[in-house]
Amino acid sequence: MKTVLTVLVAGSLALNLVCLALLISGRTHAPDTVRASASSPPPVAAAVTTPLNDQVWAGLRAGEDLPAMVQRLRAAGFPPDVIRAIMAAQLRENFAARLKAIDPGAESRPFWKSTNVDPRVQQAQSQLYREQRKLLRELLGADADPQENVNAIFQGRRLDSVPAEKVDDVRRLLREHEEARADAFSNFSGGMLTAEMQKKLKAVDKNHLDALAAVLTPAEFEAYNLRNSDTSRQLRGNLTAFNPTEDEFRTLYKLQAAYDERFGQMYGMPSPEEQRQRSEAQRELNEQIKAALGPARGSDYDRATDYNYRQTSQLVARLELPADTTTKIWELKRDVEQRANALRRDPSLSPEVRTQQLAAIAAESTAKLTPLLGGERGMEAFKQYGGFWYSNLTQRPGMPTTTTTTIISTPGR
Amino acid sequence: MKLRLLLLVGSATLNVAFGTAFVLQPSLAPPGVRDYFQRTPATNAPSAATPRKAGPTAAERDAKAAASQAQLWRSLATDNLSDLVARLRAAGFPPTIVRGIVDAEIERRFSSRFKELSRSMNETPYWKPDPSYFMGNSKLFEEVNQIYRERSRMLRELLGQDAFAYGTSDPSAMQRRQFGDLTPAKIDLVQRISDDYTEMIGQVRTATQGIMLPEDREKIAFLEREKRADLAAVLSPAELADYEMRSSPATSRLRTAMTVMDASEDEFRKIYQIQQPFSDLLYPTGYTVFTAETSEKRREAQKQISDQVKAILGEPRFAEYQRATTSEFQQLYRIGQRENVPYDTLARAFDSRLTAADASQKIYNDRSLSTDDRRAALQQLAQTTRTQILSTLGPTAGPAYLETNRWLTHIEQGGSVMVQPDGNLSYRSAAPPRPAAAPKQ
Repeated sequence: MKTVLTVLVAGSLALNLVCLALLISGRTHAPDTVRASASSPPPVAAAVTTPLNDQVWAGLRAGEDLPAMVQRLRAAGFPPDVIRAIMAAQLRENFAARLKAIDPGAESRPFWKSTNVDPRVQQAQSQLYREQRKLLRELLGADADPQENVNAIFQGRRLDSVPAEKVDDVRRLLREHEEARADAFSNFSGGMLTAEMQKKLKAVDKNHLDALAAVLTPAEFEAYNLRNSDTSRQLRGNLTAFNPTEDEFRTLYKLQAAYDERFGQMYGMPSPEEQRQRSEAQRELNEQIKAALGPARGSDYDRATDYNYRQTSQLVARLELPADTTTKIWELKRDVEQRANALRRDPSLSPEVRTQQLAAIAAESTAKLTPLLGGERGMEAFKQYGGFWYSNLTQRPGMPTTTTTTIISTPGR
Repeated sequence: MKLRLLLLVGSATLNVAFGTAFVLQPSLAPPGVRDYFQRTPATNAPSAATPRKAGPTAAERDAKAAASQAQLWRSLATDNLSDLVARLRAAGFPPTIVRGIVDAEIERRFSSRFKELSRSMNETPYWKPDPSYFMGNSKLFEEVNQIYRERSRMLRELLGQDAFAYGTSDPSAMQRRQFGDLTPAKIDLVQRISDDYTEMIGQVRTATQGIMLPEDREKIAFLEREKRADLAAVLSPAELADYEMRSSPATSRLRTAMTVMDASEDEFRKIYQIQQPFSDLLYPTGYTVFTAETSEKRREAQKQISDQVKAILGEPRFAEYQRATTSEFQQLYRIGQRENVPYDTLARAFDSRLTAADASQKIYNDRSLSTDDRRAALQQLAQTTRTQILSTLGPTAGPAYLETNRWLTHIEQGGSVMVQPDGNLSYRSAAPPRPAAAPKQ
């Protein structure tokens, strides 16, 4: 009995060692390049349970009955995201002939010409894509749309304030809104929007907000808008150098939302009357903001929402200069601009004298700015980021002054 | 005795734990023995194709088929994507479906990184700058772009040429458009080189925090030179020139214009050769701020280009080129396509802005006119031009064009318009010109 037990213990311990060795060997075995380049996938039970042959796909597809195909895929244990990928690819194939018929020359189009710019073609293509999406949704229901949508990251969209049980509904409404906007744009020829288009888009946006308001409680709706509305996005962009508290942000949001609600998004060039109304309302809005923030923060707001100030502040951070440099430059700007404007308005000066005196102010500014910005390197960058007022000092007389910049984005992806 | 018993129980328990772990996750074991653990009893049982001594009943056959069917995905799925591709191909899945499935599997592997990016966005207080704000933090976009590049690289590594099997479009036609007549092996090399440098340049751009300093430009220029050297090492000079032409920002900007003017390949190549030296100035990549100085340089470059293009194309064709490169004419061209208006009619309607712009300048600068008379004359000019355009373009295209163009409204409101050498417009507002005593402009 004692010997048997000893043998069993020895055998079991030996097996322990073998298992341990296998485990260590398995862990240290170099993964292939594909696995190494991504985060670990969820474990897949890789049991080979069904004999595979080249007829498996034919068996799954078995004719043109797509709902039956979905059933077969589900019955065969395919996960929802794989079924979505298969059905999307299958639908693309099914629609390919129709798509080709819309633009038969697409594949032979020379490389120096763009894809078809004919709006009739584009409209027909987007109609087909919509049809495909609709079919996919009919086939798969809730599984038709991925849970994580990278577009949400690109659009800065966040649903963190939406209760978990309402997230699917909100996602659905967002999707429907995107599709409705795409529909409205399907007949668009580019350039400025027509009045009819503007009306359509406004109606689409209003319907979307109404639908969201019906799904969310008033508090949830407000929280959603504070994060996702155009007003809140623009406000956050304007306030990057203001560093508002939550209360300040909510106050400013409320005031700005009332203005935006009244005038809506500006799609085209407003009429002179609308321009007058807008600027009057903007003036009132600024007064309301200052009254709400108080004198000190009101003055911070004025400064921080100036484009030149924001750019200078970013430049100062990038050059790792002391934080108060931005304020020092701002004060210098105020002083210099006051003096330069007085010179420009002075009718007693001849053009030559005016130019000379402006050049002297410019030279004085250079002498003060250069050490503040850490030397020539900072000065060069300043001309591009925040220093337009400085460049304007040396502008040739009669040249239009530059107060705005053009920013273009062509990510080289 | 008691100690031995305890040792046996402990050791046996450990063995059971090891065994369970290997069965549940065969990848824990080394590849050589992994397959042993991947075999489940179901596989070891005779398959439907294996003859049995006594034939099964119909119900048994159905149940077995159903059970076997239910295991189909498990038979195909593996965490090794190269094996997955091989299994799908062996099972008769067509390239487009294989691509779809593999893409979904790759996407799943990146979902944790996407979730992490979403989390960082969601955790930023809503009253603070958006992490997606392009000037404030392009890091987020670079990270998303990085994921896209990695995904696309994995897809290419796994599928080779089938990575381009999307819909039923001919992948070789797509590749020819992008790469010219390169072999698939060279295309792969070019894509790898391009991805690597895009990544490095992206990192430089992200570190700028929206402020591009001279040293950043130098770094990017250096990387661009290195990229070119790497490409030159795998491509012949002619292949490199052709690839650069096809992938150049200048070409990508010219394509619409070339379509509108229906340019021949020879015309395109000549125009490209003229534009290319100015490409960095005219078509910078990334976020670019134009100062008054760069704007002046751009204007000068546009003028040089226009002069050279006019010299090689001749006057009538140059007029077509100039129209075609103007976004307003591109828009009118689309309206014309939609409403079946011939090109010549569109060109005639569009050219009326030249006449109107000249006339608006004359009226605007006429100091003999009072402010009211000047405004009335400009309004009259706008009205005449409007009527002319409507009669040229017809009742549908005419209003569609007029409604979206800005210059006519500008003249109507008492301003003047000037056509620049590149065909774009500059505007002077309705403010009256300075009195004669003021400094000359």
